[in-house]
Amino acid sequence: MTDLVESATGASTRGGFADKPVAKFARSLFPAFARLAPNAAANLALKLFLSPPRVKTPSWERPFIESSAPGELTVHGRPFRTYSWGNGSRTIVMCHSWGGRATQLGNFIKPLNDAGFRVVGFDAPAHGSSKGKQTDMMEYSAAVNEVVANFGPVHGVLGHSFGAGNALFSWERFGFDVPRMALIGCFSNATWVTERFGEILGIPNSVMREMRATLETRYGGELNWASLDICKFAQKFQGDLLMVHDRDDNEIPHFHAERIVETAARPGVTLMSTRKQGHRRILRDQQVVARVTEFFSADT
Amino acid sequence: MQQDVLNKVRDIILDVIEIEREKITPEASLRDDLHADSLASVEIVMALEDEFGIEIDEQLARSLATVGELIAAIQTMRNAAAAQEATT
Repeated sequence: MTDLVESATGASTRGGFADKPVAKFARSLFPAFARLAPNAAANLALKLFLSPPRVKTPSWERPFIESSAPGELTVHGRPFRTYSWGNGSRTIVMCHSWGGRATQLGNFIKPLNDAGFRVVGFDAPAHGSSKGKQTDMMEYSAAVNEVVANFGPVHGVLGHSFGAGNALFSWERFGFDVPRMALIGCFSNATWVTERFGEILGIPNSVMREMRATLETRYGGELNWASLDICKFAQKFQGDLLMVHDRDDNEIPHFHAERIVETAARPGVTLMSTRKQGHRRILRDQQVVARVTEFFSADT
Repeated sequence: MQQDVLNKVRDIILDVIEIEREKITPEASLRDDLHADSLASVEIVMALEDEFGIEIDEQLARSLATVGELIAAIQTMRNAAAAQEATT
C-alpha cells in the first residue's frame, strides 16, 4: 500500500519521476499538524491510507479487457467488475495490487488458458473500472471471497502485492478451499505497511496508532491489526504456496518473502527470487510467468 | 531525431495519462504539469524501456523532472549503446 502514499502526496518510495516540491512540503507539514490536532491528523492519515491511486489502463492491457467475459459482483453493498478468460475445467483467481487492476496480471492469462485453466480476475472497489474512492483489506478480502464463491471451485489463487497478502487474509477469514497459491511481491505483515506509510509521510507513531485504532473501531472488532500477520496465515495454510519476489524490490523488500517462507517452514512452500525486476516489472517476466503456470499445472 | 523521440515519448505518456498532447512539451514537469504519479511513472518507464531498448534505473528515474530531461536521458543512453556497439 505504499503506492497510496505516493499517489496521495507525490512522495516516492521507488523509481518515480522527481518529487513535486508540494509533496516535500506536505511531508514537512504533517508532523506539525499531528502535534496541533492529533485526531484530525489520524483521520487525514486514514483517508490517505485508504485511497488507492487510479492509473489509466495502458494500451497493452486493453486486449485483455476486450477478450474477457465481463461480469459484476457485489461486496459490502458495492458493485465491482469481474473478468473471465477461457473455459478450462479448473479455475485460477487473480488478485491485483493496491492501485492496480485485473489486467495488470494479463501476461499470465494465455499461458494459464493454454495449460487448461479458466482465469478469473476482478477490479476491487475503488480500483480499475470499479467505482469508489476508498477501500481497505476487509473489503478487498471479502471481494476475493465473493469471487471464489461465485467462480469456484478454485484450483489456485495468484496474487500480487496487496492482492497477495489479501489472498491469504481472505482464505484465513472465510476458509474457502484452495489447494495452491502463488504470491508475488507479498508483504509479510500489515502493520509494517502502515508503519512504512507513516515513516514516508513523517506521521508520528502515536497518530499511526490512532489511525489503526480508528479503522478497527469502524469494523467493530472484526479487524485487528496485530493479528494481520501474513506469515502466520501462510503457516496455517496447508496447500502449496509459491512465493515469488524480486531481490531489487524497493516497495516490498525481499525480506518479506523470506520471513513468510521461514515461518511457514514446511514442504510445499517454495520461494522463487528474481533480480532487477522490481515490484511491477516482475509481472511481465517470462520466467516468472512460466514458473507460476508450472506451479499451478503440477500433477495435471 | 529529438522530435522523433519526443513524439514517441508523447505517445507513451498519452497511453498512461489523460492529458492533452500539446501539454507534453520538453519544458513540462512530469509531476506538476503532467501529474505523473508513481504508478503512472512506472508504467511510462517500462514502456520507454521497451520502445527504446534501454534500461532506466530507479535512481535515474527519480531524478528526472521534465519531459526534456527524460528525452535527454533516452538519447544519451541510446548514443552510449550505439558507441559501445561500434567499438566492439
